[in-house]
Amino acid sequence: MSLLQDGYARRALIEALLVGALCGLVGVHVVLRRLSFFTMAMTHATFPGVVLAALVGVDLLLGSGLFGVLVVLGVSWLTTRPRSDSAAAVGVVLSAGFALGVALLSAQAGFTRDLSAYLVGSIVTVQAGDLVKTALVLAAVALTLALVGKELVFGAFDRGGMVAAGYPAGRLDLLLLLVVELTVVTSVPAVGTIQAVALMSPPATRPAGSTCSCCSWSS
Amino acid sequence: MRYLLEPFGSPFMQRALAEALLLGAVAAVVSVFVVLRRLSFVADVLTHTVFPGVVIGFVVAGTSGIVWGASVFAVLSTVLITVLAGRSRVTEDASMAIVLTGFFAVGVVLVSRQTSFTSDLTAFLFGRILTVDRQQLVVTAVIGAAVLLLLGLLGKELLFRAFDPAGAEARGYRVLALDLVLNLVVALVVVAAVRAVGTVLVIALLVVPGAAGRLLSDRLAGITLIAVGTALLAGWLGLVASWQASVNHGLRLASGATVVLVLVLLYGVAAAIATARKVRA
Repeated sequence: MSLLQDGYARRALIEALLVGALCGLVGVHVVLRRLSFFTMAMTHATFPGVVLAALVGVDLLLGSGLFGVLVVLGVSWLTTRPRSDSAAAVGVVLSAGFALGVALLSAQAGFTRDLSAYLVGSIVTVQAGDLVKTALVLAAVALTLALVGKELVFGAFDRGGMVAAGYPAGRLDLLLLLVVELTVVTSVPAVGTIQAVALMSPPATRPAGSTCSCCSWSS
Repeated sequence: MRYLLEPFGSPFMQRALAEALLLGAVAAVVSVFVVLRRLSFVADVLTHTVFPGVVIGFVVAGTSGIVWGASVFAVLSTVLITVLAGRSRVTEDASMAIVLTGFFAVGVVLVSRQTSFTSDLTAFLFGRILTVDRQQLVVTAVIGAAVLLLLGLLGKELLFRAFDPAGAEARGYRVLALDLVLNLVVALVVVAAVRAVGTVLVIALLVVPGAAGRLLSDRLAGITLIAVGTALLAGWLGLVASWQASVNHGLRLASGATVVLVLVLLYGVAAAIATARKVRA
C-alpha cells in the first residue's frame, strides 16, 4: 500500500494499533466498574501534568504519568471523606486539574496551539521512541491485567464478597485506577482526549443478550 | 481591602464581575441538585454535547448565534441523555461516554474547518469573561431567571424524586419528566456559561459549590447557602487574582481558570473544616 511508504504513516499505524489494544484491554474494566466518568476526568486532570512537564523540560509521558498518580491518590482520598460521593470528588479533581492546566498554559505564549494537539492528539508526529514507550506500557498493563484480571472482575461484581474472602479490595481498586491513569497519559498524546475516552468505552460495551464472557469483550 | 476592590474600576471588569456573580449564583443552586442526584457525569456530558451547537451557531450567525446553537443542542442532548439514562442498565455509564465523545468530536471537526480554529476553540472551551458585554449579561440574567423559576416551581418534586424515586413514581409524579427538567436546567446553565467561562470550566461551577455545601451541612437550605456563597466568593476573588497577576506581576492567567482554582481552594477549606469537625466530634 502506498499509504505506508512514509515512515510517519507506518509509525502512526503502529501507534494506533498499540493504543487501540491498550485501551481495549483496560476498557473492559472501565465499563465493568462504570469508570467512564473517571476516565474522562483523568484526561482533564492530567492536563497540567503535560504542561508542567513541557515547562520543566521533563519527558512528557513521565511528567504527566507522575502527576496523574497524584490525581488518582487525590480522588481516592476525597472519596473517603465523610459525606462526599465519588462522582462529586471526581468532578472537583477534574475541575481543579484542568483549570490549573489552563492557567499554566495561559501564562506562557503558546496557549492555543498546544491545546488542539492535546484535544485531538497528534498521531502523525509519533516518533520511534514514543512507539517503544507505548509498547512498554501495553506490555506492563497486559501483564498486570493477566495477573489480577480475575480478582478485578470479582471486585467489580461482588466487592463485599471479595472483602469477606480476604482480598485487598481497596488496593486492587487503586491499582486499576492507576492502570487507567497510565493508559490515559499514554493514549492522549497520540489520539487526543476525546478518542482516548471513546476507545475505552464503546468497544467494550456488551451487546444486549450476549453471554457474559470477559475474554470475548476485549477488543 | 483596596487590593480586592482595585480591579473593578473599569467597566469591562465590572461587567465581568457581574457575569461571574450572576452565573456563579445560578450554577451554585443547580449544583446542589447535581451533587444530590449524583449528576456530575451527566453534567460533564452535557458540557461536551452542547459544544457542537456552539460551533454551528458561531458558523451560521457569528458570536450572537452561539447561544441559539448551544440552546438547540442543549435541548437535543438533554432528551437523548435522559432517555438513555432511563432505558439502559449496565451500559448507562458507557453510553454516556459514547454520546459525550461522539458529540464533542463533531464539534471539534466543525471548528477545525474554520481558519480561526485555534482561537475559536479556546474561546468556546474556556470562555472570555473579560469581553462580556451588556447583551450577554442580559442573556445570562434571563437564563438564570428561567432556571430559578423552574427550580422554584418544581423544587419540592425534584427533591422527592431525588430521595425516593420509587415513592415519587408511586405518588403519580412522572420521574422521567422530572429528570428531563433537571437535565434541561443543567444544560441551560451550560449555555449561559459558554461565553463567560466556556464549556469545559462550567463543570466546576456545576459541581464544586454543591459539593462544598454538602461537606458542611446536612440541610438543604444550609447546603444551598454555602454553595452560593462559595460561588460568589470564588467569582470575585478569582477575577481579583487574574487582574492582580496580570497588572502587578505581568503574569497572564486566564480569568475563567483562576475563578475555578479559587473555587477548588474554597472546597479544600470546606473539606478541612469538615475533617476538623469530625475529629473533634
